[in-house]
Amino acid sequence: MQDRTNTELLTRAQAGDEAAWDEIVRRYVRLVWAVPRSHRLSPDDAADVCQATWLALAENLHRIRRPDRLGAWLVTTSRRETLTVLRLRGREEPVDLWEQPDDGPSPEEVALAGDAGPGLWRAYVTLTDRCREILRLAAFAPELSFTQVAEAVGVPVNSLGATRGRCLAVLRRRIGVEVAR
Amino acid sequence: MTTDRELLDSLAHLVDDLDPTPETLAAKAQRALRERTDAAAMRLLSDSVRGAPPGMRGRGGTRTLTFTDLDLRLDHVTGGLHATGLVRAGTGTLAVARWPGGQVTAAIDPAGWFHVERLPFGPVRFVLRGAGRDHATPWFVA
Repeated sequence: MQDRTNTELLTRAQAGDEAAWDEIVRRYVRLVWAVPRSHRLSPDDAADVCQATWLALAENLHRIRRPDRLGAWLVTTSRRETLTVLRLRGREEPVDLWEQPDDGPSPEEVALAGDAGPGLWRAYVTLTDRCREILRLAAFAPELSFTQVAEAVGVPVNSLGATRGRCLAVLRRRIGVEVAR
Repeated sequence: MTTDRELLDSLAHLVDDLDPTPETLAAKAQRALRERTDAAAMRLLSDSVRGAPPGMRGRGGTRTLTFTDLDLRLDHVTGGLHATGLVRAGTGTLAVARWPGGQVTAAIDPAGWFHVERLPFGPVRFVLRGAGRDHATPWFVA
């Protein structure tokens, strides 16, 4: 199944082919998990969001008009449910802040970082939700176009490049890496 | 000197190590295909959580959702949620609250009301059953 296109997999899954569905899950499970986690949802809440996203896809297999944009569809769906759960838990939606937010890394996150990647991880977890989301999508799904990422995260497409650039610059500054330009 | 791509690749590896996708998640996702239904879709028209003004959000409150054939109210109770539904006339005689791997059925009274006790938190949908085709809400996280 790994050599099948998204179009083939969606068609087969719609007909009830579980192997095709499993391959879709294999391709995108990491990306779908990235969305709620980049918004700092707890593992339990993030798991609920992911499950709701996969249930929504299963129900809407026949409505996916652009199989090549399946990743963006999943990100958009997962993000919408993530923002709802954030509000259910009493938290605001992400805002554009370029400086360190008040809610920095938790003791658990710092402990987890340990010696494995203290600079990068500590820098990453201090970024805003929006930066974390954009960079995690860029890291996990480089195949997504700027337009797809912009639509998925709710940023005007003509500003995504600059936004992503600022996120990377903040990340580099915080890990002490000289900008490689 | 690190390129943007190299930095992002390092981030991907690090996130995989420190915040990996739970193994159970893929298994749950795989089972989603079996939860499909051929019911007619009810569209979500409004959700009080999405439209709530600042300061009116958070746990412990009441959530109201409006679908094309169903008004739904979810109240926090000990151990879960209490669901109260008002169904448009003629849409069904039974309301089924479904979640992955389980469901509970409630009768719809002549005025269109139904109640479901102790609905679990997490993904859920409601299916209305009657003489004709079933009607189902989208999945949402309760």
